Amino acid sequence: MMADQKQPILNIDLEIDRLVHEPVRLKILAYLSEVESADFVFLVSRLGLTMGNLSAHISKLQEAGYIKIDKSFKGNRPHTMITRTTLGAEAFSKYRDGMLQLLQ
Amino acid sequence: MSESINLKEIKRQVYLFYSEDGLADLAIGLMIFGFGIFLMIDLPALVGLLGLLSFLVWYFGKEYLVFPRVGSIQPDQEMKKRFVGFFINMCLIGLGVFALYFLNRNSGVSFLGQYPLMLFGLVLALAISSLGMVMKTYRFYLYGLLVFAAMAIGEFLGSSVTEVDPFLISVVSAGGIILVAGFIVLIRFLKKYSVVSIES
Repeated sequence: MMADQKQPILNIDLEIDRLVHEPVRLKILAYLSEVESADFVFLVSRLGLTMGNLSAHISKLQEAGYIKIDKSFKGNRPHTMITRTTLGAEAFSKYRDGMLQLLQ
Repeated sequence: MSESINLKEIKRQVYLFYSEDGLADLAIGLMIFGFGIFLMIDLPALVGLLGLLSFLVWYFGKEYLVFPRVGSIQPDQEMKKRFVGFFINMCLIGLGVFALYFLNRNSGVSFLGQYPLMLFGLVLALAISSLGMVMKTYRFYLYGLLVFAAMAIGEFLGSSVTEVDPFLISVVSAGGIILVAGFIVLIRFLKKYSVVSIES
């Protein structure tokens, strides 16, 4: 009887990537999983964030090597394209699989 | 604060990117409407310009109305394959139609049957519907049906009812309806999204 009570609630060895776990960053990676690359305005319009807020999340993902940023100019307007890296794809996939495993 | 993440919805949102501005509708409508108008005013040589004109409307619309509002994306491999597949199929269908047309003209045997315009309408309807399938935009199926119905009705009415060929009236009407639908979608899009201020 006592042995039963000591059983862990979730008997899963699950490592959660806190960087991906944050909802906004998870959404960014999810959008980038459906396209080759997207620009800053696309993510702002789809996620309903301010430029500053998105910039902060993008910087964190970039620092972790999950996304790649290419800055250029379109006419005289700055244009930023964001691409998910292989590392980012792996992190997203691992997170998704981990969550599925957790909830099964 | 609650956050919901739905991967299917995200996929749908990405596909919406290609059609929610109504520019594809405008391009198709313009081609069909222009085709009817140019034949009506007896300037068939200008029909060839319609493809270019429609492309320019679509291109500049994207550049000046859409990209500043919802940004731009590079499609992934799956989407690229869908567009390439669509383009190849359209080329094959186009070649098939031309082959039938020349066989019909040179051999004297009617490969196109009694209703060539209806058959042309069917091919056009299939092309428009296929584009709808590629872009997952189901209103394009209605456009396809509309174009087919217009050409079928026009052909059945024949050319003796009014001074102007009823076939052309049907085509212009179908093109006009698609153009109006495109404008409505575009206006809704412009109301929904405002221009995002320049990135720093």
